[in-house]
Amino acid sequence: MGLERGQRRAGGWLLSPALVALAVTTLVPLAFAAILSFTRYDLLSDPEFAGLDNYIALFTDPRFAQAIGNTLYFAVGQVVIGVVVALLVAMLFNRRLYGGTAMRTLVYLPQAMSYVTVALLWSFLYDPYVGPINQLLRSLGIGQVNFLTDPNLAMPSIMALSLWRNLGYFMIILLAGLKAIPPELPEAAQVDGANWFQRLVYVTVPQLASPLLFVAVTWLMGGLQMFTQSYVMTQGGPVNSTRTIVYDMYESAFLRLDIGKASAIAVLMFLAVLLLAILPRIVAAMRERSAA
Amino acid sequence: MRWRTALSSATAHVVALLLTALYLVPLLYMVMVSLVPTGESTLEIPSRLEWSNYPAALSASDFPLFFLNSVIVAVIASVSQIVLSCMAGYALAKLPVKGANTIMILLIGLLVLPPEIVMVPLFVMANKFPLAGGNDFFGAGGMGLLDTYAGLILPHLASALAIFLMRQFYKDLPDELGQAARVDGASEWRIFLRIYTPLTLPAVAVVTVLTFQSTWNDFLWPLIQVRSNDMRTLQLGLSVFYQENSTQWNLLMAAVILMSIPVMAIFVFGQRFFTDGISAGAVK
Repeated sequence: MGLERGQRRAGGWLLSPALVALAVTTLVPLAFAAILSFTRYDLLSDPEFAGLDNYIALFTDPRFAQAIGNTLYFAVGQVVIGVVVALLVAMLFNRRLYGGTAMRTLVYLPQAMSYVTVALLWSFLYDPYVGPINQLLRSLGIGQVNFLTDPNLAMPSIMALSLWRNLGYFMIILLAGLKAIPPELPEAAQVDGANWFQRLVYVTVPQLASPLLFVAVTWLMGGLQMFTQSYVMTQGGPVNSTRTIVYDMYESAFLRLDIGKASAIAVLMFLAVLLLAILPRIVAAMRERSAA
Repeated sequence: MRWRTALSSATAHVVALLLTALYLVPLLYMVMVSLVPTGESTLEIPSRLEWSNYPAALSASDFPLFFLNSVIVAVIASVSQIVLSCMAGYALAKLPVKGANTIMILLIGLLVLPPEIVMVPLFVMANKFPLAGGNDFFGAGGMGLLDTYAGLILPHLASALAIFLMRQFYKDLPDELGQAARVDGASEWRIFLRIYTPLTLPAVAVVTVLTFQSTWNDFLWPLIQVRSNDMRTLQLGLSVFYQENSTQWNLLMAAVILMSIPVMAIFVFGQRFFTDGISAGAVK
């Protein structure tokens, strides 16, 4: 009995520093954001209670609606293209390839680079005058494309480099999933006369359901947090076409000193992420019900 | 059938090479531009390789200082996360802890919490930190922890992901090790420090790579909380340098390469541990 008490005490001592640190850096700030979102606060004078003013202001602000639209465009676009490409690339690397390990490492490498450095590299590649992509387009007779200064192209251009950076990480996860599929399954389908596409749709994708869902949800959440690429490459422009939700939060808090409104944006983002996080559970529950 | 297999293998190799080119060409361009002499075109093979671009990039701004700041922040944050996650992970995996289930649910919830969500309140808390940076007891009057190392490290002190990973790793180690040591009269601390923890080195490697990378590459927090040039990290310093000298691509690319090397090196060395670590949670 004394032994058990000693273990309990050791457990408490070992666990509490981490819990205190997590509380101070995440739980308390989260609760604090919820409180601040109901106030008018500029850091200089004391916060004043403002009821739902910040939320009402957000919901009636066309710029915030545009930021949500831009963010969803970026996140959903990146995920839809990215999941398909990552799956195909994972299937490619699941084959026996000469130099496969080296090629896989290369695809994976930009994942180590920060968004600031990737954004700088691609700002150069996209540059209309000194960048190689436009040089190639000029030599093909297509003419100059203003990747980052054309409002219709800026966000897709940022999407492309984000895909380029993130592909390797998600590809590795899907590759591990592919390796876990028993090889008899696709072989049996092949014997039964299923072609490549049928094997993909009826064997591989159902077998990969949970890694695919994990990749889609994780990638989507990452996309919803987009800020650095816009800040470095376009400063939210041209004509606000790359302003994201986090960009709006950053501007509200630190350029306009509207801490209340910025906190309200944080709370709305939290609710969206919470919804996304429980989405796989809802999907699983629905699938169980339809199976029963 | 045989020629069809050969054909499909050839196609696969061609596609793989095209994909590799999509990654290799931008990275090689980055290296080439970093060696172009100032004033020469970035679109042609340079007339000579200007290696002095690298020292020039370092002295073009206070990059050595920013480098030191990044190292300090990344190392302290990594040590803090390793120590805290080993302690907490071990307690959750091997010791009878009250409310362990609730804590696990909380940790899993925190895994998906985007750090951006807490940036604004964390900024206010750092700014109003009592008795720091000229603040009085009520947190008024000064800057608090803003623009200090403590402020830079604050959000990276602990991470739910690190605790979660360490807990999974300790859980997979046999309980018999600890029981045998207890029979021999070893103290709980000794069992934790001398028996279990030396076995967790692969997991510690994963946590180190993850923490080092996320603090080294962090941008938003340094951007909002650093005020003075002397406290800038590499990412922040580089973005400021770019805003002020957007046409000096050779120096910019040299700086990008220099500051990516530490994380890429850690990444490639830790890759074996790392790929196992990131895929384990998703596939199981």
